[in-house]
Amino acid sequence: MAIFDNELIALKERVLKLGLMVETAIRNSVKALVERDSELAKEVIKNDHLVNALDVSIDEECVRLIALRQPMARDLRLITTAMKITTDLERMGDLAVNIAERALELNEEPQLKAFVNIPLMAEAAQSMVKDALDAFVAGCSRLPYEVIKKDDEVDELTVRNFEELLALMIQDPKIIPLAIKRTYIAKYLERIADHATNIAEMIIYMCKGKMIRHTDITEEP
Amino acid sequence: MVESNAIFEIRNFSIHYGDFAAVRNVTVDIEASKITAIIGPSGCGKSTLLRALNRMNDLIVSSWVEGETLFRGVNIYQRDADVIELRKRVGMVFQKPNPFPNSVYENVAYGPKLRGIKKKSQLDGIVENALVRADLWKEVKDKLNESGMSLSGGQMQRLCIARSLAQEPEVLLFDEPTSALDPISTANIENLLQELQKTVTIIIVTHNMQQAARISKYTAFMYLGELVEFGDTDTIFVNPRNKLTEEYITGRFG
Repeated sequence: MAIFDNELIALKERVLKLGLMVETAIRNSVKALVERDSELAKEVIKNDHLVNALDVSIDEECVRLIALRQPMARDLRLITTAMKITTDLERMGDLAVNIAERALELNEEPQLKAFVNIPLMAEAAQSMVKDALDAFVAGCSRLPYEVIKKDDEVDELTVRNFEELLALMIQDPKIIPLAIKRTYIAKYLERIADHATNIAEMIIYMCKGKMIRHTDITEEP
Repeated sequence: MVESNAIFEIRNFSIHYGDFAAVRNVTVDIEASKITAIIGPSGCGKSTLLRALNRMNDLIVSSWVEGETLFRGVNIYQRDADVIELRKRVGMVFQKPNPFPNSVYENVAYGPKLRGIKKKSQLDGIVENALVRADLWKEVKDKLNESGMSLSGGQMQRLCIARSLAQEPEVLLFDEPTSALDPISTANIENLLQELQKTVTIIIVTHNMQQAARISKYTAFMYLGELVEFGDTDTIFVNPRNKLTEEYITGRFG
C-alpha cells in the first residue's frame, strides 16, 4: 500500500500546484488592472491553458486511481474531493482571464478613479483560495469553516462596490461603459470567492464524510 | 436499524474452541431478505460466527458457546433444539465447490430424498425449480445424469447453491463462495445472490471487500473475535465510524 500512499501524496501536490497557478492568475489579473499593466494581463490570458491542462490531467489521474486502487473510505473521499475542487479551481482560472480581459480594455481608457474595493476583494478571495487549499493538504481543521465565513465579506464588498459605482454613474452617465466593466470585475471576484467556498465545503466532506452544501451549516459542529 | 425485521438476533454471543475465544460477545441483528456481509482479516472469527448460525461448529468437539442466538425468536442453542431441522432451514455454501460424486440430478435431489420425498414427478419438479433458481437450469438441463464433478467451477458452485435451495431454506450462509472462481463466474454468483435475496436471507463471509460493497445491504467488520462495526454497507465503505474499520478497508491495517 506504500505505492498508493505515495500516489495520494503526489495527487495532493498536483492539486496544490494547480491552486498556486490559479492564485497567481488571480493576483496578476488584479495587479494588471490596478497598475495598468497590459503585458501582465496578456500573460494571465496566455497561461490559462496550463491551468486547463493540469485540471484535465488531475481528473485523469483520479479516474486511474479509482479504477486501479479501488479506494475506500477516506481515500475515496480524498480522490472525489480532488476531482471536484479542480473543477472549481479551473473555473477560477477562467474568471482571472475574464478580469485580465477587462483590464486590457480598461487600460486603454482614462482611469475612472483609484481602485479601492476591488483590491480588497481580490485579497480576500485569494486568501480564501489559499486557506481552502491549505486545509486540503493539512487535513481537518477550522480553516474550511473560516473560508466559508469570509465569503460574506466578499459579498458585502461586491454590494458596496456596486453602490459606489452606481452613484458615480448617476452623477455622470458618460462613465457608464467604464463603470459597468468595473462591476463585472467585482462580480468575477465574487464568483471566485464562491468557488473557494465550494472547495471549503468539499474539504469538510473529505474530513467528516458529510455534505454540507446547500445546508445552513457554517459552524464546526 | 434492523430491529423490525430481524431473522437472527445474536445476543452477547461468544464462541470458544477450548480455552480460546474465537468470537467474543457479539450482539447484532441480521435482517431478513437482505444480504449481510461479514468482513475482517483471517482469524477474526467471521467464519466461526457464520458457522455458528446453523451449528456447524458442533462438529468441532472442543467448541462451546455463551450468550444467545435467536433464529426467528427461538434460541438455536437451547437444549431441545432440532439441529437437523435448523440446518435445513439455514443452508450453507462453502468456499470450494463440493458437489457429491454423483449426477447433477442426484446432487439436487439428495436432500429432498432424505426428507422422504420419493415420487419421481415431485423430485423432478424440485430439481428443476432449484436449478432454475440457481440460474443453472439452462446450462445443465440436457446433462442432468452427468456427474456434478464434470461441470466448471462456477457451475459446480451454482449446483451447490441449487442443492441448498432444494431444501427450501430461509437463510443461506456463504463462506467465501467465489474465492475459487474466475471473475465471470464470480459475477454470475453475485447476480444470483442479488436475485435470491428476495426469497432467502443471505449472510456472506468474504475477503473480497469490493464484493461486500457490490452486493450487500449491511456489512459487519470483525477483528480479533469482536464485532468492531456494523452498519449500512454505504456507510461502512464511504464513511466508517471506527478507525479500525477505516484502516482495514483502506488496506492500511496492522
